[in-house]
Amino acid sequence: MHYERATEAAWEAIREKLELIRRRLGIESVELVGVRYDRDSAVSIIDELPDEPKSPHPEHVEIRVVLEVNYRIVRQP
Amino acid sequence: MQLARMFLASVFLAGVSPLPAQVLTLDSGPNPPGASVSDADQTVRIRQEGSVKVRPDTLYMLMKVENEAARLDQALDQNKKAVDGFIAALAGLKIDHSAIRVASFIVSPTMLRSGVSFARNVIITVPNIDQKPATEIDRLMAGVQDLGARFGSQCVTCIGSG
Repeated sequence: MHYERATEAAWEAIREKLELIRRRLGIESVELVGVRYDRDSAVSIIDELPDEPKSPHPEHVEIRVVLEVNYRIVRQP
Repeated sequence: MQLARMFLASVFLAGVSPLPAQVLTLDSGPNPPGASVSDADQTVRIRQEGSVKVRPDTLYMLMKVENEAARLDQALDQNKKAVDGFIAALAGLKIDHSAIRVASFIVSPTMLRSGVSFARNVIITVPNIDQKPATEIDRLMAGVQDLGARFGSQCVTCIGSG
């Protein structure tokens, strides 16, 4: 559920960036050819660094995903 | 520069686009961060992170149980006894058996290379900690750590989201 929200946030930013690029370079359409997905485990390690103790009750943890997408530029004949 | 202007002017006057339609130019300004456009491959690549901050709801405790012996079979035997004993003792802390799993193992020579070390990780997952009192979670963490110490185990405690 949380990962879905993080993924949706990434997709939204990708769509915006793609739209910017399309407008700037006059690309009519693109075809999605590949997606790479990575995610971090959403944990706060409490006792990893004894010199920097962390709260055993953190307010939040960060769910993070990374998407790398490739589009092929489609040119009309 | 003058030559370029003359070329562009002549192209404009001739009513022809200065660039063929199938060729992209990368000089039209910077790409958004994490994005690149390849002329050669005719591709657009975008790398993007997405993140949300959430209230943690899961406690993970990773206990490394390590045993050293002259021979591997001896280290394995000792480790089995230690892990089994540790898991049995966890029942005393009212940790459900389904919350415990044994994952991965490491075989390595001992520091002085006179024997072998065998280690396994016992992972305890406690869900729904956001619905429990903080004092109960603290007690549980302390109990597992104390128990781990009795079995010669080091504990790594993580709070996260399942």
